[in-house]
Amino acid sequence: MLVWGFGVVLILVLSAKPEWFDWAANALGVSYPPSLLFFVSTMILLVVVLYQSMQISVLQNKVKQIAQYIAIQPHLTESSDAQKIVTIPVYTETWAETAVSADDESEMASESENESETNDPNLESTTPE
Amino acid sequence: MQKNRFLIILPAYHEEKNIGHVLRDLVARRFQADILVVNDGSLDRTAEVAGTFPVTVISHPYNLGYGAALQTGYKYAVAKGYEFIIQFDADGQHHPDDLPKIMQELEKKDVDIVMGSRYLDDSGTFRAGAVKMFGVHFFRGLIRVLTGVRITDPTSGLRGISRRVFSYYAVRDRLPADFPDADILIQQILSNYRVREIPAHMRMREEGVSMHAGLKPLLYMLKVSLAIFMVVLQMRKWKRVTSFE
Repeated sequence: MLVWGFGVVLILVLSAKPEWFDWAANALGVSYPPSLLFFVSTMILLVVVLYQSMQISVLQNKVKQIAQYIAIQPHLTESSDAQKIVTIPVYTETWAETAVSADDESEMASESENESETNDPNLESTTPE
Repeated sequence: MQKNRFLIILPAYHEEKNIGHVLRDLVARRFQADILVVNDGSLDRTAEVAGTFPVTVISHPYNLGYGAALQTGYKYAVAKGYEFIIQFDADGQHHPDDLPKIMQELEKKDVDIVMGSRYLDDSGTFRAGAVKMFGVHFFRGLIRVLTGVRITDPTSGLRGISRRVFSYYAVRDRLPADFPDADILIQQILSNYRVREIPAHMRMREEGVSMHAGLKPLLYMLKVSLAIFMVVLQMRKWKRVTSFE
C-alpha cells in the first residue's frame, strides 16, 4: 500500500513538473527523456511482478500445508496426535537445522506458544532433540 | 504408539485401475505394517477403491503433487509415532516381495534410507526406454560427481525411510511438492544420512499414464538439475556458516 501511495505521489509530481524529469534524463545522459520514463516504469513493473511471483510461491506453500492438515485431521482421533502435526520433532544432526533462519525460529516459537495454551501434557517439544 | 512400527505409504493420483491389484497384493502378504493410501486429489474412484481394503485412506482436497502426497504420509507417520515408513508406488510397478528385505535392512538401524534398485536386480524383468536410461545415467553421474556415492537407481520410488529422515522432511517446505528425487537424494547424502541400495524387482505400470510420460522426462531432467544446483548452493552456504561457528 505504501509503495502504491509513493508511486501515486511521484506520478503527480512528475505530471506537475515534467521539467524535473527532463533534468534527470539530461543528468543521466539520456537524450530523449520519455525513454527514461518507459525504462524506469518497465523496471518497476518487473520488480513488482517478481515480488508478486515470490508471494504466490509463499501462499501456494501455505495453501499446501492447510490442505495437508485438513486431509490428515479426520484420521487423528487422539488430541495429542493432532498436535504432533504442528509440533514435529526436529533433529539437529541435519544441515538445514543449523542454518535455520531467525524467521524460521520465531515461527516455530509462535507455534509453540499457541500449543502451550492447550496445556496438553502429551505435547512434544519443538526444541531440537 | 502404534502396534506396527512400519507404515507403507502409497501416493495415488488417478490410479483406480491399478490401486485395487496393488492393495490386494499387499494386504494378502500380511506384513507387520499398516498401509496408508494418500489420494492426491484424484477425480476418479481411487479413494473409493482403496477404501474397500483394510487400509487408511487420506484424500487431499485437490492435486498437490507427488512430493506433497509423500509429505502428508510423513506427517501422518510422525503424528502416529511410526518408526519406519516404506514408499510404494500405487501403479503396480513395485513388487511386494521386496518389502521384507527393506524392512530387515531398516531394522538393523545402521541405515537411514533403503532404496530398491531395479538395476541391481539381475533377473532383467525391467526394460527401461532410451529416454529413461539417459535420465538414469545422467543423474547417476551427477550424484557420483557431487557426493562420491554410487547410486544405481536414483529415480527409484521404492524407499524405506527411518524416522530420523521422515520427521525432518515432514516439516513445511523441506520436501518439494512436485518431484523430490535426485535433488533430495543428494541433499540427504550430503547431510550424512546413510543410504543403501538393495536389488528390487520392478514391472512396467499396469494401467493408466505415468507421471513421466511424453516429453515430461526432458522437462523433469531440467527441473531436477536446477533443483540439484540449488541444493549444492545451499550446502555450500551451510558449510560456510558452520565453519565460522
